[in-house]
Amino acid sequence: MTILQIIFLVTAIVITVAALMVVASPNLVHAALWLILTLAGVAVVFVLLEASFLAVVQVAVYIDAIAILFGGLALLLTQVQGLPTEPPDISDLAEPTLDALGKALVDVDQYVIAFEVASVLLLAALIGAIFVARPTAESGGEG
Amino acid sequence: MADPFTLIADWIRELLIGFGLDPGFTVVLLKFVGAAVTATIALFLTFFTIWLERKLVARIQDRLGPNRVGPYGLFQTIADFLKLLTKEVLVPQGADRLVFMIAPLLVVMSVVGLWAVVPFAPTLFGTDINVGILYIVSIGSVGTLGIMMAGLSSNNKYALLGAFRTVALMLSYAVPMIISLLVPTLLSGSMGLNDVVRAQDPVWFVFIAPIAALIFFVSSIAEVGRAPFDLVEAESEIVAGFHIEYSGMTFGLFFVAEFLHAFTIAVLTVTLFLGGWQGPGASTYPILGFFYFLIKSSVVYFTVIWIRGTFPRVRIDHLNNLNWKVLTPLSLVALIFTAVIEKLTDSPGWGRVPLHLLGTLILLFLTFAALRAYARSVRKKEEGFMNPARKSPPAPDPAS
Repeated sequence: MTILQIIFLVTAIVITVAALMVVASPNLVHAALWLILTLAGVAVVFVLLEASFLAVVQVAVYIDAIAILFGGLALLLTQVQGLPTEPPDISDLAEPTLDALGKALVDVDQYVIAFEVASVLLLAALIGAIFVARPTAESGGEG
Repeated sequence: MADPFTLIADWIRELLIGFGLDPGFTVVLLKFVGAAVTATIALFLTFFTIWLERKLVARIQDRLGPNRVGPYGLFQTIADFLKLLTKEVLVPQGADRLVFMIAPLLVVMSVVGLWAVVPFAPTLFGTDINVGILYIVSIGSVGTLGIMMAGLSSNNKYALLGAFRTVALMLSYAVPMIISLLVPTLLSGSMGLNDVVRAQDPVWFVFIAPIAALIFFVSSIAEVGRAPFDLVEAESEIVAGFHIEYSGMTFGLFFVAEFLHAFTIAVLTVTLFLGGWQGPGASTYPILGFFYFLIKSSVVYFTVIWIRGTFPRVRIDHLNNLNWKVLTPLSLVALIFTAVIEKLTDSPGWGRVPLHLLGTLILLFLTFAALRAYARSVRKKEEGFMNPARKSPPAPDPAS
């Protein structure tokens, strides 16, 4: 086993445990901190893959910007001491609401145009992404 | 003797391989040893810089400063350090214990991490990654996270307010800092710090982009939260800021991080704008480059202390005005000016400098004109607000 493999294994274990703790932790702030640890672990994986730019951007964008934003939100929501663990009771609500929502999306009088426009936009973005990422004939599938 | 750093590294490598270690393992081990040595030297350096700063600020304020322990009070910091070590580390009631203890470590880590990419001499640097400048930005703001965690976990309103202030300050001053960091990237065509230093031969970037250098310097001082931007620990408003609940060595870590960061901004300014280790004969004799680097860093660090001893603390609205109304637009315009002029002039050496300086002068003139106009309009509005009677004095009664 090489050193790289040892480092990768340790990192992978840390990422997995931290990711589990993000959803398992009852404290909102702790969950945010575990999320930061997960993202830091992903940055280490990028380093191991010799993608230094991605690693640094991972730290800059996720750990710094998003995590701090999230931490600020958690600070503002001081009323939320812990996340609710009981699922809300929607047994009598779910069926008609979902039904109405589904019908409203395809109803000509309601949201069908917005729904279709959003679908076309997403499809265009998807096709564009595939086109950009598609390997060209010259590069021989190198991509 | 010209290049002792490579010599030492080679000697240790030969020694370890001679002990029968695997060459691949030796490389990894040497990296760890290098990191440990760099971090240790950096942290021990603060013993000296804290003494230097106290002594210099004392001189500026017409005092003597520490002068009891050791010659010229040199060992004062060590005495203070021992005192801090013997103190109990208190964790306040209701605090988030683990987060509370991790926070100072993160802050120190973010500062020491910056030293990994700085080229001290042509052959003396931790690692040469091709995204060095981006690395500085991202690692530097991990410290923000530490401060946030400290304020969050202390279970103290003042600590929370202090942390809020710090994060707001750091986030907003990161904007002009990053924009001014784009200038060396643009001029050298690389984000690697070694390439940036090599591109400053023979012209240092400070002669090409003095405004960007100044903005970087000012906004890094604000990032560290040093005087005159030390609102983070304005005693009269929020007691001690985010580290109010910390005692003993946990406080010591924040303290060390702040002083080390102050020296680190001097180091970064020298690397990015003042030519790093560049100097006569530095590329043939790397040890000479190391001394040039030290001298330049000391001069910039002296300026940092000088600013601290001279300027009073800035008010918070002035602070935000300076950032958003002056530094951010100015850094953007300076970036555009530098890019356009660099494209127009094709000569690599000193030939392009006069044109760049001319552009800088025009920019400064426009900035001061805009600031004057703004100040005049503010003054006019305030005068009208303070005594509206002055504009239309009551007419004297003709009957009397």
